[in-house]
Amino acid sequence: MPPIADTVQLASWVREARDGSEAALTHLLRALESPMRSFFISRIGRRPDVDDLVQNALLRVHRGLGDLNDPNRLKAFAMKGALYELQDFYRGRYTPKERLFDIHEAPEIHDEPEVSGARIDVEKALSSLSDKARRIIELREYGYRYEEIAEMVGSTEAAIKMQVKRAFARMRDAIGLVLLWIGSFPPLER
Amino acid sequence: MPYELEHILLHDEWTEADRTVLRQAFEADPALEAALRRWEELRAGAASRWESDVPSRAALVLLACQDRLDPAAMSENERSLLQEASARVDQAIRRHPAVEDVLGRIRTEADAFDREWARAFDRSGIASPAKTARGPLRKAVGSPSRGLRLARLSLAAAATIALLFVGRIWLNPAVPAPVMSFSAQTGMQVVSLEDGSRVLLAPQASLDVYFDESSTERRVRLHGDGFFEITSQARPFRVETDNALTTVLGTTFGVRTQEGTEVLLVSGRVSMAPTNEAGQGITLSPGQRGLLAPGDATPRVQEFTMPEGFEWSGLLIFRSTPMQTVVERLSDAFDLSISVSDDLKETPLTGTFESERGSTTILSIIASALGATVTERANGSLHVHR
Repeated sequence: MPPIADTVQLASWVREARDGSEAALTHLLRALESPMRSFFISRIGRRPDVDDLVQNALLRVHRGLGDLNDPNRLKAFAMKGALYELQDFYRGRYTPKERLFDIHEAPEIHDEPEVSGARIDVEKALSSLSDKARRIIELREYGYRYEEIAEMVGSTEAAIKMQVKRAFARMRDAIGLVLLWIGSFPPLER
Repeated sequence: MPYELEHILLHDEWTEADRTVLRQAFEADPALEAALRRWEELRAGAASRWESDVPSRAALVLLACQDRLDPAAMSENERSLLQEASARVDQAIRRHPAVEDVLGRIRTEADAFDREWARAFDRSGIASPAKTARGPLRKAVGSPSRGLRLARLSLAAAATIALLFVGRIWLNPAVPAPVMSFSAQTGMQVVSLEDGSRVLLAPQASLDVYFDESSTERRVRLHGDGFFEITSQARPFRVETDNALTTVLGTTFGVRTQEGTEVLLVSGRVSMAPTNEAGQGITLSPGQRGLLAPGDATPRVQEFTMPEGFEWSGLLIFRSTPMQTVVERLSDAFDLSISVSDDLKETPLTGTFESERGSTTILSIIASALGATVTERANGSLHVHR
């Protein structure tokens, strides 16, 4: 059972840990672990990732103790580590799963022909989006879920998804026209 | 567009089943495939512009919380990062109004941290948080629901495990603390690293990461078995085990650490050397396995056949593998009779599949990519053909 901890005790453990006390560091990290865990659960729910987030946030505290010049600032210091970890978690939320070992991708076929000439300029496509749709896409790429985006922009998840659906439909219609236009030409003679 | 497709497009994450439905839809509707490819490009373009215009995520944290973080809680690097980000943020917001949403979200997260901190520490005489959940002072703050109390108590055991890990590092000052650590408990776990590399950890394996974006080399330490897919960079990527050091620039390979170290190379080139400086290193080519038993001075080299060398990972790995060989391996893996039409036998296939997805899903994905069909014959065998 760890000793009783309050902010005065925490500051004392920080000083002792910086002076090389192993026991103080152990007490300090043990005291921080539970609020860290509660914090991450409050943000992303009870998932296996919480263990990694807690551990990595504690490692940040451990590694950075040398930079903590004022032990009374431990709270700000620990909060910063937890927030860094959370932003990293958002970044990794979708891409690893979508690109992992090309398991979820169609395999590469070496003699695969070029599919279509309907390429569009990304810059032009981005500028054609409504401000709202672009804002949603950027937040989605940051790593937030649609539900979280809705909460952030004061809307509903259904309304957010409707914006995305409209943006996609507009682009699809535009590409459909291009394909139709390309298909209207006779094949080239060799 | 059919309702089912609309629904899938708006999923937060696509499952393999979602992707299979999409691929089938592509065959019937080329415009849909083209649109989805462009949509992915558009998303990537939005992310890329954000990366170039907006301060880093760490800088956004410092910006959002600068009123709570006085310089005493910042490193020299952070102070400089904040100064630079402060100069750029107005322009970033003009270009990307969503930056304000992110800053607001980070402030909300900081508020949540404040609350958890206050619950844990802002009262003298509070014991450990787990004990607090049952104590009278906790009730004075606000009695948590029974479900919450149970959650806190059940999490205490996991908390102790993580602490032991951190304590181990501290108790041995000669071992530097990793930047990040990951461990797979009962199942396989995917780890995504800062440089874009990915590692699949086998159950009970753990990975300590000793690099960040400012490091001149990428160094990790592996306990247990891992499958690595390393992005190509000028900075070498080094995998340490108890007795071996494997160095790569960008490649795909597996490492096992039972009774020594075994490195199986899928693509690229790696060098493998004993950690004992007296020993000699070797260079492996794709399809080769390096074995270094405890106490050995030089690794031994053997040939291996994919996916045989990766059975432990549950992955079926194909690299420019003729379809005839692919179906033979799938037949063996799933104890099925699978054949392929003559015109497809020599078609090379590159892909990696989790065997737990099952033969039907894997064959369906392959057929989709080939523009082929899978037919079940009267005798129960499967035939892949166009």
